[in-house]
Amino acid sequence: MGINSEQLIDCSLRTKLRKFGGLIWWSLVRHKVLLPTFSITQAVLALAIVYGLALLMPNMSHQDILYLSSGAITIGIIAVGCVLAAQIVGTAKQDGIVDYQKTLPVDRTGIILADVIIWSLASLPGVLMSCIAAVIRFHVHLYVSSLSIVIVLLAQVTMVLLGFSLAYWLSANIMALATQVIMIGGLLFSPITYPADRIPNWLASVYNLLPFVPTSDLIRATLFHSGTLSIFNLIVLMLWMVIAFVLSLFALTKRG
Amino acid sequence: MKSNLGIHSITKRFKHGQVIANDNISTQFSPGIITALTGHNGAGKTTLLKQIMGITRPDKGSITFAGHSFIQEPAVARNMISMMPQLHAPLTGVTLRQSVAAILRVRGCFGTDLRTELDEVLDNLRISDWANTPGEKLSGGLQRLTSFAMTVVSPAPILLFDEPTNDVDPVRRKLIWHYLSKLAKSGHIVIVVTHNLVEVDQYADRYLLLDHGHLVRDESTKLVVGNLLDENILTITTKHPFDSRDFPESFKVKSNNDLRYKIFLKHGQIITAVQWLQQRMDASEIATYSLAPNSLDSMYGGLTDGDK
Repeated sequence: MGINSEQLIDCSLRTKLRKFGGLIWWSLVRHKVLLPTFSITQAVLALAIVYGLALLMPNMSHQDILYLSSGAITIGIIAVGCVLAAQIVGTAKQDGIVDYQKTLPVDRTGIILADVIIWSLASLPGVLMSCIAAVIRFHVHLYVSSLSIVIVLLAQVTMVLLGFSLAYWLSANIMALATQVIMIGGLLFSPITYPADRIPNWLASVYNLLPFVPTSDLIRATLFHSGTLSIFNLIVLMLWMVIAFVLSLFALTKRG
Repeated sequence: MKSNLGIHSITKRFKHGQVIANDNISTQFSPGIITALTGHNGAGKTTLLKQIMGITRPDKGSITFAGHSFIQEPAVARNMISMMPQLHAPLTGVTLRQSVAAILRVRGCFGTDLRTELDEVLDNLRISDWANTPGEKLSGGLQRLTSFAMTVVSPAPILLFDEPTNDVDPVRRKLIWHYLSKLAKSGHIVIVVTHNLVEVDQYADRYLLLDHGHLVRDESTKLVVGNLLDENILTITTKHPFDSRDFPESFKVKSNNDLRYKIFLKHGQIITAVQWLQQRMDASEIATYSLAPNSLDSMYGGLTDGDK
């Protein structure tokens, strides 16, 4: 009942970590029902891409196989970050949860990082399922290394942050439209599941500046050893991560 | 930790300056006192709370506490303040117990301390029976109580409540106000936005009335209630219009030209008023009447012009 002055003036790293842990715990219990559902959805999506899209191409080359396998992983990560996370955070914004979080005695960065961790964990089953499906269906070899793990993590964080930015800055209707455009663009039109030389050069150049195709290329280069690791792709992806983080942070710190 | 919360010339406008939410408001909030913030919808109460909390930036003025500016240092404001929002806190998918525990963890409380504080607040608010019920399955009143518990657990020096007793049953309304009294007595600054003037009369120490963004009344409820008790209202409905000559000269009369008149009486005028009323009733000029002590409610109506 008394004033909790000890906790108020305690700015030690231990207390900050405890508070951050509290945020992660809260985010986890709030999403505990949704996370298994998302895992199943991702598993279905991974199977649909690896097995379903393969049906459209009866005579697949090794290159087609690698694109489809790496594309399944990339699309799974995009789906969780830019669609599912965006929609859940958008709903949280409408329900007043985001405004409530703004009143809590925690750093804005902490709020974002806690949710990034939860959503990155949420997209892991999709990544694993895509890998398993690709290995079983196409017998591809996965080169699991610290570099490929870092690239997958970087991709997850970037897509989740992009989803947060969409949710924080766009109205519910526009955000829903944007997530659909990203998903349809990712699945059907962008050179994620097929080589870029099948589309006009100008369109390929546009895709190279967006985060999705560079993500796919990086995953293919590191996890499947197909092509070389492009520093340009890495810079593009990291730039989008920084932009999305700054946009999310600005949305949480701005005062009406 | 016994600092006052100072509000200095706070002005906030919305819609490119067309809507004035708060106009040059200055006041102080002291520890140990429950301050009720009242006023009609849109009077600027919630905007004032949000500016104190640091989530809305005033156009002009300053908010200070213990040597800190809450406008320049919103992170300090968040550490010094707990706020119960007008809408429910986020409870979907989380049990009542988990919701309160989450806030304790976010406030840096863990282990045995967490369990002790958690059990204490649930017991005090008599909501332990619903501790493991998911938030979405709680009634509106219990959701409000959960939100209240999330605000008062491991309490900050300044506590802001936006309509905390809405939807809450009469028994637990009392519990909430008694809990607020205990918090105030232990040195917290307690500010409560409410439309329930009966509760303000009963439990608040101080009363602020906002009207269209202006602070029109700021005084002790004891003083207000004391002054009000010195006055009575005879409300009559007549069968035909009365003019000022129909009333004794010493009477203060208000009318909205709808055959309904409010006569404000000091204690010493009651006998005269009843005798006058008797005469008018004998002449069949009075349709209905009532005599009651003045209330904060009637003063509220007199000082504001509603949603106009």
